[in-house]
Amino acid sequence: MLALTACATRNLPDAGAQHREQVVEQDEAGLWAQMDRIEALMKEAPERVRDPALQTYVDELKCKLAPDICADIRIYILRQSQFNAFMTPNGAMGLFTGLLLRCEDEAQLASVIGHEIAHYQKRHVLENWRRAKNTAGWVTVIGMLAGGSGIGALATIGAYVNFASFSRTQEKEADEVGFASLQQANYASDAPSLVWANVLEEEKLDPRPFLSGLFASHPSSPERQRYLAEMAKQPSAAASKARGAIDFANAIAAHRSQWLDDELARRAYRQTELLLNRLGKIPYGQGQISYAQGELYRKRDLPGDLNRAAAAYQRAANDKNASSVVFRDLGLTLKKQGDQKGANAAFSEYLTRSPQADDAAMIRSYINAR
Amino acid sequence: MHVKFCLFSTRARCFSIALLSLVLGGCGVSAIVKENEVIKVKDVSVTSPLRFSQFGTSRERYWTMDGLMLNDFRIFADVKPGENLFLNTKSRSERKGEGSLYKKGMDALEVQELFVDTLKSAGLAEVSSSGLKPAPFGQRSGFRFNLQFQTPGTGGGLIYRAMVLAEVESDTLSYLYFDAPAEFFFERDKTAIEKLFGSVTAPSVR
Repeated sequence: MLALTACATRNLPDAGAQHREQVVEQDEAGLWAQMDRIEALMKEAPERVRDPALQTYVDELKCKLAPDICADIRIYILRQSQFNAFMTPNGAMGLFTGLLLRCEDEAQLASVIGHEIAHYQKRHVLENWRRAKNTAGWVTVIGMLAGGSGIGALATIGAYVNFASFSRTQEKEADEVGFASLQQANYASDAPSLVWANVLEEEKLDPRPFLSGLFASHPSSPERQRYLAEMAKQPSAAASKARGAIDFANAIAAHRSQWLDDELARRAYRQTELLLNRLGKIPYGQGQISYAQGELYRKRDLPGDLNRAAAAYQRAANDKNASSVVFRDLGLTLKKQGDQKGANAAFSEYLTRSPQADDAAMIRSYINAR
Repeated sequence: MHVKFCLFSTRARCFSIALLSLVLGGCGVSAIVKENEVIKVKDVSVTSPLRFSQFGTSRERYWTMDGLMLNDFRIFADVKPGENLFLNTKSRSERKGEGSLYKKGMDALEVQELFVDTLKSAGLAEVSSSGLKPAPFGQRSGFRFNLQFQTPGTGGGLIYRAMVLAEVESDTLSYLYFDAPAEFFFERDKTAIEKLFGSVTAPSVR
């Protein structure tokens, strides 16, 4: 039955430019109207990252990948630490900051955006909608939207994402179409397989909290990484080389510390350690990564972790852009290790750099406790 | 606050505590706290400046005047290493030693950080802390700080402000917590909560 349904729905023409004006079939128009409500939630969500420079960056990237339908795709960046992205059938795309944090360069981000745009072009949600619109899951999502449940954008989006999962066939098709757009924009053809290799490594440690929602239903990472790596080896793909590492680093620079804080707040120590070790090999923002490693080890506090934390904070402190909190947290670590003299020096440096810090009274009490 | 958490992670526990309170009402936690009544939770005592509704268990109490979404005061006593701040059932990752768990040796900065991480993990947005400073917790050396966060409700969510007075002794954490919507309720109730914070008695040596 599923196979028959799949065959029956494979004949949808692609969504081209200004598809909204051409939506004449009643059920698709209805679906779009509901998805407009999800988009309205994303627009208003407190989690939405409202940074014009970053928005311009991802919008330009989207236009490089899909110049013909660029105006029909709208990207919303949402502050969530999970690795996730999703596409609604009306052209609204959600990108979680946990995904942006995990990309190493523009090519990797482009591979995700290109993949999501492909879902839009291929009208995959409409296919699924026609197959499953009377099931409890869809009814729940639409009920939440229609009723203005008040539970918030991300909960509604989460419900949408859980019930709008794509089939393996659709995912593979989106990978192929996305890969073609990546090549057309001259991005490095191994970017998609690198993204999924990294996902696979984190997934091995703890799949559920990390791969929430949509990506949890994607083809298993090993299979996906394998066929994406094979695509990259095709002779026609070899010429695509651009990575855009510096542009990407500059685009996210203003937010990276905050996203690292969000990642650390998960206290998913094993995954975060793996992530930070990987990001530590990228020659940008080394001070931020060292500080995050210090935070990770101080919070985890397993045997030997305080030594690792102190060393990481010291590396962060040597960065010319080191924030004053590096010294505060170094002081805290040294205090916990029993090095009161070292702690006092670090706390004093913190107070010198941030005399108006709102926790200054607490830090002074640490120094005076000697 | 508990209802806010209930929306995201601890709904079952919220109702089970309320139900337990009702069942045990005749032999333990009273449903009403009277004005000027002294309430003891383990070895932490506070004097209520107002009349509150109450539910809870031996180590935790929840008080409210207008409903937990509008004013939510909590007393938690003796949170032990390996437990989470609100004594919820441990998640899968928490059972593996990850997640926002209170740990032995945590000091004021780290307890403040633990609150922030816990609220973020509960799905609240724009969580921030401020004003960490030493403060007496009864006869013990304690500390206090403020929190702010936004619920993820439609229309951009509601901004809440919170105050925490806490202390760590013998590796256990005890604290008083209050939150309310920044608009109207927090300002209205702040003075009463300051009185509550000032009423704490807790012996210096256990």
